[in-house]
Amino acid sequence: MTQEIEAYLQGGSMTVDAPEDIEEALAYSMSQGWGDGLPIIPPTPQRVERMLAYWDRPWNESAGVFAPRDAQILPVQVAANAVMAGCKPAYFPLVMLIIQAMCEAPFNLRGVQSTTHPCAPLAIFNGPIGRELGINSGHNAFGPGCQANATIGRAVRLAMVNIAGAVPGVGDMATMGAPGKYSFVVAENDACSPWEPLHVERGYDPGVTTVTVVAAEAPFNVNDHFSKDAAGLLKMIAGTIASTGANNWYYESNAVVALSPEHAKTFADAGLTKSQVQQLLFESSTIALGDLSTENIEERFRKRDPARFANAPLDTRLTIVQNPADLIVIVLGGLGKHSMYLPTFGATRAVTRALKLSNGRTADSIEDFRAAKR
Amino acid sequence: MTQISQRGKPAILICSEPFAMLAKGQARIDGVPNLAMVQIDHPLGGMNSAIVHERVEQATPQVLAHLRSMFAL
Repeated sequence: MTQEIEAYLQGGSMTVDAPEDIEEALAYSMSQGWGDGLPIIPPTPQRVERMLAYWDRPWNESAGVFAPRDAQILPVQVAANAVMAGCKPAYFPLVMLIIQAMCEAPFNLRGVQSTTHPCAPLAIFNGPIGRELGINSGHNAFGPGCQANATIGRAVRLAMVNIAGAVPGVGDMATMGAPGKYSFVVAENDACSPWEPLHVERGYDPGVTTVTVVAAEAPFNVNDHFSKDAAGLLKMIAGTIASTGANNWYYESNAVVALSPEHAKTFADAGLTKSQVQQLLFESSTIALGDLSTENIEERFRKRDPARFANAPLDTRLTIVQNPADLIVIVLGGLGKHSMYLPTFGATRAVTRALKLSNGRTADSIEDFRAAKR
Repeated sequence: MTQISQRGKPAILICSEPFAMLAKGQARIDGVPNLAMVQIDHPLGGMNSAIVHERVEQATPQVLAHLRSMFAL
């Protein structure tokens, strides 16, 4: 297959004589505008072929259209970016799964890619294959130290830039950007959750591997070491959500609350289900219309939705999402009493997608992809 | 704006200069590479009325030029 890939690449003038030295390779990739600033592994045809060993569809069969450039999502090109990012070949189906989930219409990838807002695609994995590949769901889940979390998300970002055209300052106009634009991948810590995992809540069987993509901001911490009951903890989390800067006040979208296992236990010990926690947070995390500036009230509410807001008093309450279930609650992280709140881009909805083989069956193990390839 | 143009309606996009490259690229992708475009200084959002008037003065001759071209005036 390597010869086929080489012929394809050479036919499209996609091969270069890049330096073998790792430092020179980094300098070369940056000079070509390919990189994210970190060292890359040069994507030789042999390395790309090893990546594609875990893809049971043709390497040149498009998996969709990638905004904003509306480029075809060719596995061979995504595989090259996965090599550059440092992915193990077994991670490749998850890279493709995230990209395909992002390309579903409700996610609004075109907007997510080009906005001035600092959103990045947060990928939340559920199910057995995240565990099989060791995606970190525990201590430092949003932080460094795990190859799967670091490189799967990095491969997605590199593909977003190199294939989809989200070049900073050209196709990606983020005012500030966010650290999650380097990589933003976790698995829910369902082993430490008192409730059903996210993908079950969203209609999937527990044994199915899924990703849920959310165009999220950087996580905002909720430190609460002292509340002894659910009411106190609820007040602390709701107070964190009830800040004026989020896009969510202006759009119908999702927001995410990542509860540490200890905080989730506090709620569960009070007899609360996840949907009850969502309901309580929805009701208690409101802000008043008058908390916003006069101009924002006028432009964002009175002019845009005069039926509801033209004469609404300043003590009218605004909710962070439209329905309690739109507040995505997951359990994440290790020991300690820190939870996190993540607003979103707003003009976007979370998308959950199952990992399936080309025959339509859900994969029980990542090795199913390699076996199906043979 | 590209969708309006695709429906055969006259359309002129007004954008601030740093967003022009994104806008041109998107118009090309959407199949309207010759979408009429007016560039103004950045920013526009959150400006007082004097600066908004400056942007209007910048935009108006460009808009008129496009209209003359579109309608052969």
